[in-house]
Amino acid sequence: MPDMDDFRTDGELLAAVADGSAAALEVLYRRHASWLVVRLGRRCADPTVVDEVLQDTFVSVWKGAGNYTGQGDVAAWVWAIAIRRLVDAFRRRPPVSYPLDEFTSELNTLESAEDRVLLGIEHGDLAGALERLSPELRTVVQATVLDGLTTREAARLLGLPAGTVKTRMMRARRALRKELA
Amino acid sequence: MTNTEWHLDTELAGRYTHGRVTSVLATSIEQHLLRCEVCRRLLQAAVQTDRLDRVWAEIIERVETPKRSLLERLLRHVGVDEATARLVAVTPSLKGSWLTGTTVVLVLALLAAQTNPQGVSVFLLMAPVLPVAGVALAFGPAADPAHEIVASTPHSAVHLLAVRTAVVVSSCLLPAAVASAFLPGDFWVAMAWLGPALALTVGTLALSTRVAPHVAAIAMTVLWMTVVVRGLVRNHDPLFAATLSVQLAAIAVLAISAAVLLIQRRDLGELLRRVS
Repeated sequence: MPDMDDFRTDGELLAAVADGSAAALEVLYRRHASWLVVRLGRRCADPTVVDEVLQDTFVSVWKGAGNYTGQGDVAAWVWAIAIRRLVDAFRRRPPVSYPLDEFTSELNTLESAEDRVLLGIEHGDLAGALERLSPELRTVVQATVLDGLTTREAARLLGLPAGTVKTRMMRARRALRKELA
Repeated sequence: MTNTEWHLDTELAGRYTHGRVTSVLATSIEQHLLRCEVCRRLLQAAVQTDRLDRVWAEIIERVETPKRSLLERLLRHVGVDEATARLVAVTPSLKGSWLTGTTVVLVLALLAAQTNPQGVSVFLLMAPVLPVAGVALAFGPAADPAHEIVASTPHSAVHLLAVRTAVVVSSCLLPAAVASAFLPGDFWVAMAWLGPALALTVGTLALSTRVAPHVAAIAMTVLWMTVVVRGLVRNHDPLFAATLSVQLAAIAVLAISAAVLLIQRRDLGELLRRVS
């Protein structure tokens, strides 16, 4: 079992993967699988699908390691692959619902004062403005702006027609602009 | 690197893992995680190891499967048994880089032969050495992904050696045969590299029962180069390697080496075990 404390950086490991080292792939997997599972789990309630996507993601990393330019964090590069594999999985098997919709409303009450302060530092007014968007609009912003998906990919992820994603994004943008003006 | 001192603590990591954070806070966390290895480690315990192990087992299976695809599937298709097909497919000398190297050497030798009548000697000098290098690579100290297959194969050591050598040698002989068709001059002169090629290859294997394969290969290569270059310098004959005496000597070496291999065949198992 490869050591978690492998001295190599993610970038070096990825270079080794590009040279065909399955051992390096396993070290990367052990480093990144957990947070990927958690983050994917927020976008897909079915753990079977999450596991499939995790598997597809690292097979893609194996095949595409040579495409990593060395620019930017490896984690971000891996996430960009993972979210697209999730979209692919949803294309094969459309999601029942986008899970974020369900818990965001009830969770507003759970937000602590500490969170408020942290968010204030992180995003200023944007945090509040995002929070006040309806869940439908917020999931669209999440998928396109924060997960970096195209309209069509976001549509697949959310199980919506592309036109709906476009109009919701327009409405979200208008709402945010008004709030932040 | 990050522009804040903001980090997760175990409590927040736990809440994020269990979906007990607002979507905006979750977004902050997710953006932060992309850049912060320390915080990613906080999530390590969030997923059960056996679940990760299970997914990893599937990944490694898929990652290693393509390796056995193309050539191996083709061999299976034409009726080669599974163990042999695997063995052939994982032969290090069949890697693209090796085949490319072989082709480059042949093309260069061919160009030399086309531009200069003396250049045929370059081709006759180089072509026999290629399968020797291939055999050294196939049995040499280089990392061999086939260890377990070699160890667990149902076939005898002789069978193994024969299969691998045949594969490697034909991977060199076929391109060389094609190349020699483009050599200027007499067809049989152009084919004169074939005898020495076989003699050097089998000689390398015979020597390998005593010394490491790459040492054997180097020895045979040096021997060949010395003989031919000396002959070229003394006789001023670009076709020295094609002369009857060289060809007969090659056949003699081939016969002796084959005999040695036959007598030493128990040592072949030793050779293969050394390799793996």
